[in-house]
Amino acid sequence: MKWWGLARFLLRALAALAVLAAFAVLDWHPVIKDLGLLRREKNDLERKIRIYDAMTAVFQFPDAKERSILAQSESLLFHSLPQVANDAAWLALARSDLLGREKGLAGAITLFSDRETAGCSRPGSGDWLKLQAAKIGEFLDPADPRRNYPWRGLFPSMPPLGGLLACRPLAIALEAPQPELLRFIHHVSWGETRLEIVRLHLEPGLPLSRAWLVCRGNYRVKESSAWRVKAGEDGDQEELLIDPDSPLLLQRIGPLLAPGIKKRELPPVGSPW
Amino acid sequence: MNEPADRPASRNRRWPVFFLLVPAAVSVFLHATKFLRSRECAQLSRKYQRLPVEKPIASTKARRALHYQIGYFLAYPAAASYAAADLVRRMDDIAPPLQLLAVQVDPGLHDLSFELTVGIAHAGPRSARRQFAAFLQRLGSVPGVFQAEPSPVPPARGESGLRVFVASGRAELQP
Repeated sequence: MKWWGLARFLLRALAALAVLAAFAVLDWHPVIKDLGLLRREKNDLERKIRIYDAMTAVFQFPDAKERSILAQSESLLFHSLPQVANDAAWLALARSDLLGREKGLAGAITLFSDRETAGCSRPGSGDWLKLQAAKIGEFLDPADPRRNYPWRGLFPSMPPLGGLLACRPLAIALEAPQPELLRFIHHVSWGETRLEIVRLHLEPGLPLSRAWLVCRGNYRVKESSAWRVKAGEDGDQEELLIDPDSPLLLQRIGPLLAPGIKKRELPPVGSPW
Repeated sequence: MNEPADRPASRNRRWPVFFLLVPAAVSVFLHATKFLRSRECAQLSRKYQRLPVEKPIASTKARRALHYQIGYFLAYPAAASYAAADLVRRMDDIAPPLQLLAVQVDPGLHDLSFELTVGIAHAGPRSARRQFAAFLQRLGSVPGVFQAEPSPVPPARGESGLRVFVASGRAELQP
């Protein structure tokens, strides 16, 4: 009887242990694990909220004045891009804009729009231009927006532009006395087409200096365009850098920081730097 | 009268019930804690998700960044053409007695790189190298030029006995 009692006691103890183990393995352990995860999640959220609260303490939220400046700058960007019917219309606009502003030099200016026309220089422009034509054609490629467009990051965040964004390279070659030539180079971007210089090659000389420039111009085109800037074609090209942690972004934009185009003349020849 | 004799037997029958109840109570406690904690987490998560809507820091920063980018974009063409023309003007000033044969300027978004071809007339190889080194020194002291170095291309003989050297460098571009 004594052995029988001992065996029953052992069996009961084993059964009790089995029940405990089943609870522990099947229920308590997963729940305790979940509790740990939830604790970490809670601490993490509390920390993030504390950080956000600390950020809002130093952050200046926009007021009506700043909102108006921001809307104004977006509108300025929109209106800075000329709207044309097609690529040929932009080329005609660039040509008339440039030659119209530079009436004195109009006879000395040759415009190229692509590699093919770069080979056919203006009659009477001399051997120099014929020699340079191949080089100019070669440098029209880096200005091609399909290969390199540094402003790509600026436009995806903008509202629809009311047309397709296009960018076309344009080469300009001219011969002129050096001061005239420098004034021309300096003013090349001042027109409606806002030409950006991609490369300038200048050979000083007397009485005439020679130069060619490869520029690019941005515009909005209504029809489809061969020079359309497409999204998501970024390679290892240069892009405008923005520091997301800059303290400037925490402060309100004042009216003095409204975007504008500063046009200043070159100092006269021989003036100190 | 049978009660005292029956007690051990009923106790024996009751202990498995207690043995199930206690772990079950522990389970209920754990599940309740988990329920409360997950509710707390959900509340915190909702609060955190509402923050960018109530206090839009990221979108305001993005709009301000866009504003500065637009400013840069609008000012860039004029700044690049000014910088290119001004660099040529300055190079023309510092070049003599060397002859400036060609200037090439490539404005980038943040600075501009340039390449100068200069010719030195009536000079032996040593004197020409000395004059070119002096020119490089003058070039390095031009305000805004932050890099000036001789090109790895060896000097060449140009027309009418000119010794031709090439220098390259980088200059600031401030729209």
